[in-house]
Amino acid sequence: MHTLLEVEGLTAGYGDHQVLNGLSFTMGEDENIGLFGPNGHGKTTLFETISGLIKPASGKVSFDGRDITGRSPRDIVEIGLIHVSQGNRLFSDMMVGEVLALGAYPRRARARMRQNLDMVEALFPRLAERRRQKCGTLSGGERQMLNLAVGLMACPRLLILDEPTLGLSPRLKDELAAAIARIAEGGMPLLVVEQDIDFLLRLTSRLYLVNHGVVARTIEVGSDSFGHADVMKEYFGMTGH
Amino acid sequence: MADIIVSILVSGLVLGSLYALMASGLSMVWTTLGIFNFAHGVSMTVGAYVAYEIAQRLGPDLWVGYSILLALIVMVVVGAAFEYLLIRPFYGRDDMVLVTIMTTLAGLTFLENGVLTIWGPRLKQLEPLIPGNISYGLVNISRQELIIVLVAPVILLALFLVLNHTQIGRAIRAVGQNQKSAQLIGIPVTRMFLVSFGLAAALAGLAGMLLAGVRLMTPTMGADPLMKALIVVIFGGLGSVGGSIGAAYVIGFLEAILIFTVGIYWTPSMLFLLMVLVLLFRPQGLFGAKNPSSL
Repeated sequence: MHTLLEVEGLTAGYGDHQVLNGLSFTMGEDENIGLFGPNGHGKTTLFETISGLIKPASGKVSFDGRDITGRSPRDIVEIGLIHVSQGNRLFSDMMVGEVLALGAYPRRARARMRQNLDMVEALFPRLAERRRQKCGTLSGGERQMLNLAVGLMACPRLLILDEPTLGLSPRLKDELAAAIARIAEGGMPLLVVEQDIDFLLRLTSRLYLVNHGVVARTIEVGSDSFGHADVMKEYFGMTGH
Repeated sequence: MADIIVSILVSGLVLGSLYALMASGLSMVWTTLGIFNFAHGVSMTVGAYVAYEIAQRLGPDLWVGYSILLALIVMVVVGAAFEYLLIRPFYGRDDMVLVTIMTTLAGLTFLENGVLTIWGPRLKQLEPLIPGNISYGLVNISRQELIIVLVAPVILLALFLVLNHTQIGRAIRAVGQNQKSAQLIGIPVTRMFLVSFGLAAALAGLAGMLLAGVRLMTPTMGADPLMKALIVVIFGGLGSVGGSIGAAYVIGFLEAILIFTVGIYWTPSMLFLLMVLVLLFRPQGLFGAKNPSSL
């Protein structure tokens, strides 16, 4: 299988505080990957390093065979690696329609702006209704939909989602999970962080447990009917559910 | 009485147009970078002198409008250089706002004295775009002033359309509201800072070039308009380019009325008093939203 994203021995952090301690993993072109693990152990830092917001201290990130380590966020967006960050509040004073248009800022996305807009509005009809409403007035669920939609407007070749259903009601969570499943069915490779293990088990073919800034365990989903209880066991060392 | 009202209206319109050109740039830089650019007034001065120099070089046979166009291009570069030299080295520092107050003040002093050194203290004037006056009933206005009154709204409308209906305009606003989100959709943040500084300097420069066709140029001609632009930006609500443009005309008319009623010496203090009152009772500004979520 062709490797889409490869992370090798990545170390990074904030100031003197190192969060990633030589983290490595690979992701193929035709698979969805899930990351899980306790909070504060490097999942968000990993994503911010991949998308260029944080410069790594050492290690290597390659996308589609190209070394993108330490490149600017803009270069990384331009090659199609789109990071939908956690709890992104976007631009509170701009209208939903404007923000969607701005999502097509990358050069490679401009020509497909019209088609992508139709696509995301079909996926999230609620955003089409709110087109002239300011972002700051959206509910948490709507804002999360907009976040995903803005990511899709950029013509991603790989979509990185950081806790897309964080803090949402169960009903909205299901709605968003369904939308994400539909995005995946469309052939978009997804790299997802989620606390909801069931959601990851349905969506992805492989899980990585991130602990203390490294991948502590790799779990092949469905290989030997690996289920929720087994993950919990791996995760917490618990014997039952 | 009627002639007085008409002359106040005309003078208010001219002042308002100039302040709108000044304040829109100041406000745009505030909205995108969150800093107050003290060197903004001197952009007006430099613009006027650069246009003067180009006009001198090209000779008196060529229409002054060409010199103004060339000078505007120079001003975009000057504004971009401001950003590159005075602001860019300090991005990401916790004390950036404080440091840039000092660096832009330094830029102001440097350029003001630079103008004095290069062009000397002698008063200069730029040819008006179209010489002569127009009298129509009670209205008596120089053609240059009429051009100021007509050109400013056109330029500001163009600015409004760029900011609201083009990708680069949306990107400039986005960077002001959330830098991290802007980076994640591939907007080159520092380039947007460069663009907004360049645009702001060109707008201020244009105000200077137009004014230099009506009044005499001095190396400190930008100081008073900067103060007025500060009042305007606070009056209109920080962070709202549209509010600043509206407030510029309000301040222009108020100034014209105050000059007539309390005289030219008391006018600045009255305007500042008004600014204090606005800050006390409507801190979000005249046109600012109740809840300035963008700040």
